[in-house]
Formats: sequence, C-alpha cells, structure tokens
Amino acid sequence: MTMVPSVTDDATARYRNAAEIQIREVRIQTVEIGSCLSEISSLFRLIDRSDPDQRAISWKIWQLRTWLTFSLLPFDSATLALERRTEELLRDGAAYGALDSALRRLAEALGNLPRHQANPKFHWLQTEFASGSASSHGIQVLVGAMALGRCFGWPEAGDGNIALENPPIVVRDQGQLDGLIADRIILPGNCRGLSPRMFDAVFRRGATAQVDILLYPGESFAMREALPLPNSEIFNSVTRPPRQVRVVVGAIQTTSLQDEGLDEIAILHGGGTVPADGMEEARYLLCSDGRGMFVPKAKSVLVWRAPLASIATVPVEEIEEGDSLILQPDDRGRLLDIASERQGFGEKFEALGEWRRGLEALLLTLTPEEVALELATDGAPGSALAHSVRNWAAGVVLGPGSLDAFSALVRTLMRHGKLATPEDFESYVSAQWAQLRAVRDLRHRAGFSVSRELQELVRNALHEQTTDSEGLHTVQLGNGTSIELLTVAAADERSAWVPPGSLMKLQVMRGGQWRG
Amino acid sequence: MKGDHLESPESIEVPPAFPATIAKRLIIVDTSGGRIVPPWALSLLQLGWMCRSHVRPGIRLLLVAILPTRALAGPLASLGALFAGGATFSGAFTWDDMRALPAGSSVFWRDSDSGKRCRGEIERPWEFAPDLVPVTIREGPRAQIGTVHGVGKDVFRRLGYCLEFVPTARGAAALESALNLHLALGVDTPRAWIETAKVDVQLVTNQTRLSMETDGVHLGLVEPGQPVVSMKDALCANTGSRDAMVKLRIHSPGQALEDAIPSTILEGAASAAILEGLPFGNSLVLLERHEYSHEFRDFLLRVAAEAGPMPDSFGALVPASVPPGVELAGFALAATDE
Repeated sequence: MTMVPSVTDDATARYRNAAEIQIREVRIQTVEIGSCLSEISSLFRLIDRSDPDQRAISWKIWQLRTWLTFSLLPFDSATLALERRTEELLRDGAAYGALDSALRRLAEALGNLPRHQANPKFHWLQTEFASGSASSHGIQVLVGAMALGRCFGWPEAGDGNIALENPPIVVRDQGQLDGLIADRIILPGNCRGLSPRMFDAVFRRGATAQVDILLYPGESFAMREALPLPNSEIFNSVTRPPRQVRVVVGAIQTTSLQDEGLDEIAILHGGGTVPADGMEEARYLLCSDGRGMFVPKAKSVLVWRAPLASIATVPVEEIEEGDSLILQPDDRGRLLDIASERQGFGEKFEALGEWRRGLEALLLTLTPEEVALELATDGAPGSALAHSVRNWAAGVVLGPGSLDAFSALVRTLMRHGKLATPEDFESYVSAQWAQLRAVRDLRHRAGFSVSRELQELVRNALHEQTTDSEGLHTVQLGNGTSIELLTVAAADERSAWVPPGSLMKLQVMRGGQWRG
Repeated sequence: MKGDHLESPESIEVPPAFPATIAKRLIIVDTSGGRIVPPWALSLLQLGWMCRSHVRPGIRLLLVAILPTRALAGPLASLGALFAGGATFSGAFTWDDMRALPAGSSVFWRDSDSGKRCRGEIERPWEFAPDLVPVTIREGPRAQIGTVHGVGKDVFRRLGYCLEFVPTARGAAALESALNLHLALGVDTPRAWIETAKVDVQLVTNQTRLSMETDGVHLGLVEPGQPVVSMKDALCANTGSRDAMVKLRIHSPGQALEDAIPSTILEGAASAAILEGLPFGNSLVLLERHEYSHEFRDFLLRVAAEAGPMPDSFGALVPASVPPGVELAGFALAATDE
C-alpha cells in the first residue's frame, strides 16, 4: 500500500527538488529523422514570412515537425498522417521554386523514415521501463501535452494506458502535475512548445528532482528564463538560484542542426498587447478543440476541475490548463458566471445605502481626509481612514469593517445633517450594522450556494455524459437543462486588449490549422 | 475608541530578532510523524516575523516571496507574524484604561458563574463610589441584562475585562495553548497578549485550502513528553464568529479587508491582486512561480520606482539564507494615510 505523503513531507520534497534539479538530455540517434529535421530547418530559412501563403506553409511545416518530434507513435501511424501532410505541403509549395525543391527533399527524407517498427523515442522508453529496470522504479511521469496543451499520441495497451511495462503516469495537462511529486518526469521532446505553466510545473515547482528530455538530432533544449522579481538589494545575499545539473545521455553527435526559425511558440489570437482606448483587458484561453476566446480579465468564472471532482469559481487570472470551462449550450461561448446569480445581492446592497448616500453628499463639501479626521475623533480605528472613506463612498467595499468605525461614520453624518438623527442612536446603529453584516453574509452565501448546487448537479450528471470527438462534454443536468464542459488546453499568460465585442466568443484560433 | 487606549507598537524602536530557539525546538507533527521544523518552514516563519515586527510610523513594508509551493505557507507565515506580535506586544487594557472609558463604551468579560460571554456599556461615574466603574449589562445571563453593576479593580482583574468579545471557551483554550507554545519556543510573549483584543495579522487566502492544509498539523517541542498544539489553535484565528477575540483574521480574496491591522499576508494571485488597494500596514505576498505574472511584475516595478530604501533596522531581521529557489523582494513605501 502506498502511503500518501503528508502536506509537510510533500512541501519538503518540493523545496528539495526545486533547490536542485537534474536535467538529462537523452540523445536518440536516428539518422533518418535527423535528415528530416535538417530539411525542415532549411525550409524555415527559405520561407518569406511577409507572404501570407508562405506563412501558412510555414505553419504546416511547424505542425509536421511537432508531430515528428513529440509523437511516440510509429512513423507509419495513421494519426501522424505523414503522407497526407507531405502531399499537402508539396501541393502548397509547388508555386514557389526554391521552396518547392526543398519540400521535395523533405518529402524524400520523410520517405526514408523507418516504417513497421517502434518510434525511436518510444523504443528508448520500452527499454527504460522494461521489467526489472531500476530506472522504472518510483513515480514516473511522462508529459503528453507537449505543445499548447496538445498531445501527440503514444501506443496504447488494451487498458488505455501507454503500452509500456510498469507504465508511467501520462500527464495530459498541467493540472494533473499539480498534486504529483515524481521521481522522474520525462518529456518526449524539447520544451519549446510547453505552455509557460507546464514549463514551470515541470522545472520550477519541485515536482521532481530529475527531468529526462528525449531529443532527436536537431532538437535542442534550453532552460527558459524565469520572470524575475525587481531587484532588492537587501535580499541579494540571502537568496540563491536553484542548482541545475545538466547531463547528456547517449552518443553525442556533432551537428550544426539547431531549432532554427522556431521561436518560442506563442498562442496566436490577434489581441492587442498594449492598453488602448475602448479596449478591454482580457486573457486568451485556447481550448482542446482548437477554438479559443478572450475572457475579461477582471471576471471570475465557474470551472469544473475533474481531478478534484469539484466546481470552483476561479478568477480568470488563475484558470489553468485542464480546467473545464462551463458553457451554456443555448448560447455557445457564454461562460456561466455567478455574477448574474448575485443580482439579488445587488438589490440588497443598494437598499442599505442610506448612510452611503449621506457620505456621498458629505464628500461634496469635505475631502475624504477631513471626513477621516472627524471619524478618528469619533473613535473610528484605523490608520488609513481617508482611503476607507473613499472606498465606502464608491462602493468598492461594502462598508466599515468594525462597529466602532460604522458608529463613528453615522455620528459624523448626523452631525453634518446628512442623516436624520434618530430617537435612539444606539438602536439605529445596531440595526444598520446588522443590515450591513447581513449583506456581507449574503454575498458569501450566494456564491457558495450556486456553486454547491451546480457541483451537485454536475457530479450527478457526469456519469451519463456524452463526449464528442473534440473533447467537448455535454452534461445533462438533473434539472432538465444541460451544460457543456470545454477543456482549456492553454491559457495565455499575458494580457490582451480587445474590443468588447470580441469577448467571450469561441472561435478557431488564428491560423485555424491547429488541429492539423 | 480602542485606539485611544491601546498603546501602539509603533513606539518600538528596535525590532526583536527572530528567536534562534525556534529553529532548535519547534517540531511539526502531522500524519507522517514529527520532524524538526524544516528550513523552508523556518523561512516562512521568519518572513511572517519580518512582516509583523518591523512597524515604523510613516513606513509600510511590502515583501514578496516566490515559492516552489504555497503548501502551509500562509499558516506558517501567519504563525511567524503572531510570534512577532506576541514578542512586541505592549498596551494591555488596564484598570486605568477602563476607568477612562467614556460613557456608552462597550466592554466585554466572561460571567464567572455561568461562563457566559457578556457585553456591557459604561455608564457615567458614580459620585458616591468613585472607585467603581458602573456598567450596564447588555448581553449575558438573561436575568442580569439591563442591570447596572459597579466594577471594582479586583473584579476587573478577576473577570478579564476587555474591549472586544472574549473568546469562546474553546477559543480561550486555544489562546492559552498558543501562549504556552510561544513561551516554550523562547518567544517573549506576555500573558496580556491573549487577554487583549488586538489582531496582529490578517491572512487573505482560500479558506477551504487553508482548512485542508492545516487539518491534522500540530506543533510541538523536540523534548519528548511535551504537549502538542494544533496549528489551528496556534493561529488563534476566527473560526466563524466575528464576535470573538482573535489574533489572526482570515479573509477570502473577495472579502473587504480591515484596516488598523498591522500586518497582512496575501496568498496566491487572487489575493495579490488586491494589494494595490491596500494602503495600510506591512504586507507579505506569497506566490508560487506560475502565479507571478507580467502584470504583477509591472505593479512591483511601479512600486519599486516609488519605494525608498529599506530601513537599516530591517536588515537585522533578514535571515542569513533562504532555501534555493525561494525568491524575495522587499520595498519600503510611505504610509500616506497615516
């Protein structure tokens, strides 16, 4: 029986792993694929990127390359569809002289790839995971989602697992790595296509002390720079970067091949990268069916987190690969959010505004600092009362956080004639305070109850779900309605600025050919 | 009114150093047994200590830590802040403070017979009995509500009058356990710390995660046979009722924060997002690497442009090292609203 590590042991292991990580570059020597990648590098140098048609060819070549380098399937597998891809490329490139001849050389190199035998990287894994191999012990993880959350296939056994003895855990999205601490994580290719979150999960969050990266000739690995904190001199002598031990396994072949022409993969979405008038800040979410959408960054959305079997209200900022967006099927693309469920809260919030309106009126004649001074004199605690006054008036917060502050506020408003003086001051303040607290409670309960109800319905319904070929789950809820779950394959880390009309619209990612 | 009677720790000149005894004596006990506090956990305690102990008028500190994992980060940093809160505590609610309270002020105590938590209001002084403070009972045993009692110095001491609801019986036991832990670890926390209503730290975090993380985690001492204290008790936190004396307030990221709390610990990206509107007290932000976004870095760069040099006195609090992979930044900002 495997002991579940305690939270302390888990954290200790993560800090230890994060302090020192061994990165093994496993060189898989296959001359034929080396030739293919060499031809692809040559092609990237020839492509005129100012020409939209040649850019489209470039994209197809990039896809071909990702399938070649990331897939563990045999090269004659129908899933790789090398012949179809080759034919398409030859057809598209026929109009461009130099490109055409380079594409023909690539087609020839692809034709020389070994057929009717295991994929070379998979063959290495077979040896590595053979019964009795010491290296197969412990928790082994193989990253499947190698580029923008996309998996590129591996031979499967009858039980659906990867067809290896002592099979490793195959991770299809970053969320799966969150709860794992592995003895080793294996990446079946270089890391250029890994989403930033997946990269961090593998290399920087202590998920393992050893990463094996399987590389063909022409593939290279480079550690990405982490986004640095602003320099703080006072901590400079205190912090130490993690230690990386780099090891190369397998015969080293001197090669001039590099990943030329391949920039870090970016999610293409067409959103602006700088704020602009009339544009809204959003985050681009690419889904597993190749479509994506901009979601307002300030929102929180309901997502289904399958590994935890739970629904969570997640700030858009925190959506992760593997989260399933909950969509309303009647209005495809619209996220179910709890904001609308909180309308009742809004009405009640307005209803308690007697003192708020009084404060707004008072701020027409006094500055927040002057009001704060009076509040302090009346016994309101706090060192930032002026800021609080602004927030109370603007409705940024529900109101004062303590009875003393609230009482002082009411007293000040009465003194200035902005609130009628009641017969019994204490009773009035108590009643208003109780109302404020009730609204606070309501706000918390509203979100909780909607979430709980949906969670229950989704849980019950997932047993009878239907799944279409693109990973879109339609879930019939017990209340007669249905929802759809669409898995997030990659979430752009950077903000995009888009017109309001572009928000929440599911569309095929720019370029449109991702599904390959 | 509380502020008038509780002396502020702003008057402390030299922040006390993090007690070295903690690293030697504290053990963390959970489902897989007990172990001496690991270096990463010690660093989190120290970060919390730095955040709470260095209180200066006109300056607020913003500390940011990027961690390999946030597991137990919030609770441990909060615990460090509570240690510092205890070690720098001053300003117990005294008999003289009680006598100086204006009529209408609320005071709180526990009824000695029934054990019920009571609230009363100060009345005008009795000319015929100047050594007694008249208090009308507003909440407590039903038969006593509305009655006026003259509270003398002895009764004040015996019943532990304070300016906020006294803890529940469970809460009182937790505070007692926390105090014992402080003392056993070499933290010089006076008894008045647990008898005085004064929140040291607010923690902004996902409360479900916090509860799951701390469930079953205990703190103890290396010496065999010593009692262990649950992490939840050691945190002296609110567990539902806001009308109870606590030392740590826990908020979800969406909740309104309270001002006048000297230190705030914010866990995760959602918590960090509210930092911009937080002008009071010292803050400590705890993030995992993937939670540190370009937007947050932009915010920190703006902060860095406005920040002054870290005070020399802060340097004495900085530990010799933190575990590799932990990244830290600190900024000294003007407390504009003070």
